[in-house]
Amino acid sequence: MLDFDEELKRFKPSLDVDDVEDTLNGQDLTDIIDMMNDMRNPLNLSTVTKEKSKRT
Amino acid sequence: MSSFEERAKHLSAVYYNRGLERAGIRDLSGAVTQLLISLKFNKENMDARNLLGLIYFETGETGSALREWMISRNLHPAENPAIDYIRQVQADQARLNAVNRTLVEFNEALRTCKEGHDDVAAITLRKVLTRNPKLLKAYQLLGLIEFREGRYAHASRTLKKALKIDHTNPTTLRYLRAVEEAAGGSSALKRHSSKDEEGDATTKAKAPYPSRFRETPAFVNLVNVLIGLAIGMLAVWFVIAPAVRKNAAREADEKVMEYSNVMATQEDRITQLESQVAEYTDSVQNAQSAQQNSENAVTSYDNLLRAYNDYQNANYLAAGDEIAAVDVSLLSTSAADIYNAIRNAINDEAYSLYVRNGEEAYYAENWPEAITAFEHAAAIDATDYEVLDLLALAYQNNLENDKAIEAYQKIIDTFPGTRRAEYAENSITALGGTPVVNDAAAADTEDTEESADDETYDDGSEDYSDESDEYSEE
Repeated sequence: MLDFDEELKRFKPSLDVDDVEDTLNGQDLTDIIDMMNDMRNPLNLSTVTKEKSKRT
Repeated sequence: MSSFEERAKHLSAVYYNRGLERAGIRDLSGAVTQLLISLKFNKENMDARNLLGLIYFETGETGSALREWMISRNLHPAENPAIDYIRQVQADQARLNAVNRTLVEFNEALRTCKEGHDDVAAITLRKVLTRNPKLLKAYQLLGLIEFREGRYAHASRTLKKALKIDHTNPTTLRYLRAVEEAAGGSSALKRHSSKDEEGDATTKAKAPYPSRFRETPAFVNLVNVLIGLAIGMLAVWFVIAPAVRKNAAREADEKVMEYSNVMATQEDRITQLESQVAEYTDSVQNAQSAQQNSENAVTSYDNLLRAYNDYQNANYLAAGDEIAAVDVSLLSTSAADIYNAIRNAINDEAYSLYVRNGEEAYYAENWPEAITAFEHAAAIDATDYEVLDLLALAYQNNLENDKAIEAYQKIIDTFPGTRRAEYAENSITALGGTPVVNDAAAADTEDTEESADDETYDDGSEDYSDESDEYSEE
């Protein structure tokens, strides 16, 4: 049996066309290639770390 | 490009192909999952991002579609289909605004629904679906509201419209199954259901629903995505170590080759230098040899002049020594002629003097002076038996037996096969030496010397017998 309230929580608002360009700047596009490059260059500031710090 | 990048791009392409395959059978939600994984491996996979935008656009999410296409355009500004997609969507601004309003209204309906105003939300959603009939989430939310209100037939119809857009959407399928279960043997649902049977049959024939996908909740999909990412990362990680080792080995090989080339160049240079040193050494030796020859030539000319001068002053002995020291091979042709002319004259005079001096010294038993005189005489003429014999005796009397043996051996060699040689052999034997006789030379000369021996015996046979008696007495 469906739990209406729980199901309702899973619905997310649709992206407004007017807000598209605003969301581009904050978009996390980090891929595995970026992560592996960071792992190979430990002296560099990790992209993942930076993204995590941004989120927190 | 490193190996793991190639590997990541390859995996991204694999997941893109899967997404494309799912989209081909209108499994849009499954395609979205595959494409998101593809972009996690390689954010620059243009085809994957463009297809993801197309799927969002197909499900009515125009805003999300534009976002993906704009990202794609930013990453690949040239030769990118996304540029044309954006241009086409933005070309009809009125249509875009209308669609955008439906998205705003959906968000409003969602908000009012969460606030408990289901009826208002349902009305809004129906309006939204009238103007944006592809908005999948609106069908799902409306179906959920109708399900809650107990309007199972309406809910079923709404959800089946959603299935026509995305055949295997797990949320839609879960809602539809709940509706069917709730309706149970409801005649109303059956009636409506039978009305929709034909349409559903067509839909099912187009794409049979894989039951496992329908029943998996969203968090399972998320776990699957994370597992896929972990596997991908491990695969890429295992590619890195061999690639790094391979690069290190290649760099080491290049270094070894470089050093080998340097060493080979240095060895060639050393060889060249050694050759130059050898050439210079030869040149120095040649120069030294030429200098030595020049000095010898000067000395020879000097001796020739002094010999001539001494000969003119009747100093024959000195002239003889000096003429003997001349190396005729170093003289010029005219000087050699002069040398030959005076040498015989000097030698004749000097030889007579040496013999006379030697005999005087010998009979005065002055052995050293006799030896010196006879040595000079023998140097001028080594074929005079008298001189050689007296020289040998002088050595013997001066207790120089080795030199005496040499002198006797000289007699044997000069007069082989004669009685002189036989006498010399006996003398060497008497001195404890071993005479060396050349039998072949002795045989050759035996016949020719026989007459000469006879003549000698005629002249001096008594002297030899006397001397032999003296040796035996000693």
